[in-house]
Amino acid sequence: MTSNKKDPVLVVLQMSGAYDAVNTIIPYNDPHYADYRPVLKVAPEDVLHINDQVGFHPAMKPMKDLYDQGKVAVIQGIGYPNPIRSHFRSMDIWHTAEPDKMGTEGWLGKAVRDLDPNKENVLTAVSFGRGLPRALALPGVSVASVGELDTYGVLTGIDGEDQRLEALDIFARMYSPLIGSGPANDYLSQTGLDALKGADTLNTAPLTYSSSVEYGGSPFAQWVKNISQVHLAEFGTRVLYTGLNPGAFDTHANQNIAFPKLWGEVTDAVSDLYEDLKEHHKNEEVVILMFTEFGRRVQENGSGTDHGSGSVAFVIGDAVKGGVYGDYPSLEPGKLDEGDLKWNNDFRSTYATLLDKWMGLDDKAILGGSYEQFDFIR
Amino acid sequence: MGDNDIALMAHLMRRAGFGARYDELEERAAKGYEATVEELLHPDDNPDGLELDLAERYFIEWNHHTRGLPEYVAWRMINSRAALSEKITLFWHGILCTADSKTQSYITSYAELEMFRRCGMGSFRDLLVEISRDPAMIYYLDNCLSHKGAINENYGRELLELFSMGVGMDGKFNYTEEDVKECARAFTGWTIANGIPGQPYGRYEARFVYNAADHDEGEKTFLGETGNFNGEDVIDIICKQPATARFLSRHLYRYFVADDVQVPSWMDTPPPDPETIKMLEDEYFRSNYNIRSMLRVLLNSDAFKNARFSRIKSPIETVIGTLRLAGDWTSPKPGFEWIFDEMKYMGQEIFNPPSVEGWHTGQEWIDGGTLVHRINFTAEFVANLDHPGIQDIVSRLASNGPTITGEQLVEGCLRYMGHYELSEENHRMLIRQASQDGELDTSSKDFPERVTKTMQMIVSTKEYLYA
Amino acid sequence: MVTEIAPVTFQYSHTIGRQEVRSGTGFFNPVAITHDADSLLYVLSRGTETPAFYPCKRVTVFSVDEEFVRDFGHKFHPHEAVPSAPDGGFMWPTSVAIDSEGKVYVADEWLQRITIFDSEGNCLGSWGKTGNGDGEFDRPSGLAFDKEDNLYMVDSRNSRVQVFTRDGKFIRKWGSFGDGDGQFDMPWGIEIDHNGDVYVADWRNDRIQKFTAEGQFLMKFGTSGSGDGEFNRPTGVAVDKDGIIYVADFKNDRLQVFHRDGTFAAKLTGEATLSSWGRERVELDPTITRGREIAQGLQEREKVFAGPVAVDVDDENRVFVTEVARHRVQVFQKQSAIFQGGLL
Repeated sequence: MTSNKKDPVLVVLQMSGAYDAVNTIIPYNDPHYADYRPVLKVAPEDVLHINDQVGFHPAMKPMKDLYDQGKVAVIQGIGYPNPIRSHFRSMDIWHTAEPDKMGTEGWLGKAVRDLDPNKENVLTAVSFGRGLPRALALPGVSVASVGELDTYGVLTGIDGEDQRLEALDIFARMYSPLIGSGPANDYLSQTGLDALKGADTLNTAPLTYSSSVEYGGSPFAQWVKNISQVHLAEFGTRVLYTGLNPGAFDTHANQNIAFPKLWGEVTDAVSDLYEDLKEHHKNEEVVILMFTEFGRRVQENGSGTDHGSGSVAFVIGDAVKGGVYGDYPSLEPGKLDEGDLKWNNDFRSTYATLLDKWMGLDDKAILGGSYEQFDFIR
Repeated sequence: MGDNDIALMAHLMRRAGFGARYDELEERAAKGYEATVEELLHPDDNPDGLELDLAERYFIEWNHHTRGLPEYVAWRMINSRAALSEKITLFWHGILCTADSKTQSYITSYAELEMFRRCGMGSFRDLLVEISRDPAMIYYLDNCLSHKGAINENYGRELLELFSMGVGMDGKFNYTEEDVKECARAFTGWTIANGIPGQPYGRYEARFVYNAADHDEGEKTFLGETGNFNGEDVIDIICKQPATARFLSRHLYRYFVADDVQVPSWMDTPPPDPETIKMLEDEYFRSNYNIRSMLRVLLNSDAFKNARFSRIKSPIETVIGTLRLAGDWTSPKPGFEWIFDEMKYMGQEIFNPPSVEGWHTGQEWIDGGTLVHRINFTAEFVANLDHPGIQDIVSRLASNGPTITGEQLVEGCLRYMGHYELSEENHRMLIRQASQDGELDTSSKDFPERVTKTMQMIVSTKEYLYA
Repeated sequence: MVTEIAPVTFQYSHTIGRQEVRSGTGFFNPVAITHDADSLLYVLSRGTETPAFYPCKRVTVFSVDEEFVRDFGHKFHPHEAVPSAPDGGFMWPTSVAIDSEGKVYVADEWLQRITIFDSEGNCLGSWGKTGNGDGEFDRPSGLAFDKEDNLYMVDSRNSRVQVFTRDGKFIRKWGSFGDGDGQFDMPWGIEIDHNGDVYVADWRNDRIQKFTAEGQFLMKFGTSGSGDGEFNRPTGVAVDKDGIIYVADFKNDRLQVFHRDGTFAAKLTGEATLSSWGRERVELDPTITRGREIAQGLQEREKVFAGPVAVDVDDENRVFVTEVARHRVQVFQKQSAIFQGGLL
């Protein structure tokens, strides 16, 4: 990015539970598709065609509209070596970018460290949801982890505005570093004051926000709205993270009910975010990555789908060169990997592209290696 | 029985347990410090007070340990009188650790914790044998993929590096790469049976098998000794090493006494209190590697008794300690999964240490997100007057007379929460805040709330982050 | 004089069910079983709190030959689980019973109410009041109907049995806390035999007690332990038309069988095989099929009871044992003691 532009911002949307790639980007023209999916198949005429092979699930209409505007890169066949079908472990792998060993440091934590090496901004990264995803975890890197933006802060349980202000005032004084108290104490002091400062700043975001866009009522949609609020408030936040609650997309059963509803909710929120940013002329500053931990079995189980591998991810934004990337893995029975889609591009290629071409960071240092990049960033 | 005895008991129960309410502290202090240490060291001879049949009636998935195991472990930590038994289980869980994110079988992971509960205070040699044949461990560190003629070094290496000796001591390496390979060879054939799939009838506990045909019978040279070693022989050699005495002593010290640097730095960073470490090392050899004996020496030492508030509480200690203080979850009710989530959000998930190194401790528990979460969680609990433990503190304070001063309020809260100590500045600040309306009428309607407000401020201090 | 009682013997028939954490062809932590006049079986799944598993807590209706008919009911999130929660949902469901019209009654010991469904699974409403007065209850466990459609309820924390009309009007009660005759300690299951006598699994006293319909103590049997005739937390009790008594000896992982006088007759420890719902699941996933082929000790480990919590017996002397930890029902046929003819 050139320096006269605003700093690039990355929004990451984690679709926990593992969405069913086959019914997300549907290979409607593949004769095997209907065989594998007697109950769950979407009729070819209902699929939102991308080309004569694949298309979006009908519930993803808002996403298809963005795609038609050239704003969406669809990364087909994404995965990693030796696929793992455990939600937790696989999510760890996506978070740490370490498929081969148990990593503890988050890839975005490292990105945040490089974005703000002197820790000048306590809000360089903000995560919405309960608990900090490991993607953002790195010793020494402070990330604001926000459950509810409107009420975020320390000692939120204290009733009464005056009493709470008084408590916060005391809190600030209690966390002032004492001379000669040692490094651990200094660290705690700094962390406490950073948290307080972060909260004080973040709390102002909803106050200055106004928009004609109305987000949905689900926690996810509200967190996406929070992302917009924080970005529009110009706190210098560069990485914004949120996701669905654990297990949301884990559609072992009744997939035909839960799956379209979720995609409707999610793609509405994504489209709302885009429109919201556009209304404030900030749509060019943000790129969104949407991913899930693995794919699901190609063969349905009669009501849902079980854990698989080989998935699809999405990169969305004005800076994105829309289109289809990666090959759609074959559905031919002999070409499946233990009944799953066989991945053909390493998820770290997508990370590398985002880190290097979008964020302007050293992808090799962050990912601990060199990965072939896509050209989905303009 | 003075304040000092109770303060010391509060310290012991925070370290050798998960904290205790004031009535329990009084009761235990009346029995005496050493007697309490002995009771804690002998969980088999003392009732744990757990009504597990009843708990299992309501949380029926605990039957046969098929589900809900993190909650089950938390339940035991909250309610067991055999506090050290639970605390030592967690100790080993963080050292000889496996993660369910890989093993994907709570039932098998839980069997490992049961083993820690059974063997965690016995002979360290026996414990190393048990962990080497533990199915979760064999799977987690790939010993099931280590074969005669085609070893997988993973377990052999971590047994030396993280479970017994450490990479090095006093700046010198403890073993060579060759030792790692020989160690791995000795454990070939220590494997698990092919298990029953979790569908259609749910999971089964994995089982250890010794496959003699896959054991490397060749001669091995390990740490200078040569022979046709099997796993147990290697463990015998490991246990004889001074490095093992040091490593175990240092772990016990870090867990029970004071924060220390993270394990990978131990080779080059000397222990913070060499004298106490020496004492533990000596007891290790004197007692023939007996962990209970080492704990007895440690918990009765002046170094331990004087080391108050020198460890940052782990998230599990924070959550369980808060629930014990509040007197919540003493009987089953819905919503228990949430307790487990709270620990997770603060950075410590039972059954899921982040790596084979276990949890990094000390100030690494604290970052902006976890600090806010920790303070808000604790503050919410101490402000809830529905909890019997909180009611108890209010009535103890009210029984001081018709009025109390702000200073009495702050002092009383600190005492009944377990004799916490604040820095002089913070202490003064809280007293000033508590005194601003003059003396407090203990029979007034808002008195309970004044108490809980003070407790909220106490739990948000830096000092309260420590145990 | 012949003094020996004819032995009671069983032929294992088949296994029904599998773990299904949401809905459909399986159960999830099943805790109760009963059957209706058409011999359809009703299994109540206690489920779990994990939000992703929905509806999870439910009644599953199916035939003895494992044809799925329907399921109904759903769970509440713990925060929604208050007595005023809408009818039709469960938090801690304990028991299911069916009246002469085919209506289904489910007890919930957290919501402290009895929820009624029609035979199609439509919720008709609920009743119940928490307390220890007449007609109030505290943690209802077992339920059973007598021939007059009176509902007998184990009122566990009040240490008593209460009898209600089916719309919840109090009729009578008996029992108090203790271990004497007619006293209870956290009783659980209940059964009414063909004579109208009442059997209660006196859970924490490790025994079964038998009463008249009016609550007059008739007999007791069992004591703590794991030997024949001893119990470790008996949960369920059933009586067949011949008066043979079946007890789910929960923490001993077995079913014990008793003669009508309470003397020990037999014990079963499980013979489970792959159910047809289980087979459907296995065949969908090649890794499971393969996993079962290579699993060591599969048969010995898979067949045994794990948490046998409830037992039911029908008029054909088919015995249904429900296992909470294996999410299935094992079916046994009691063999006839009458000579059936044929060659020697």
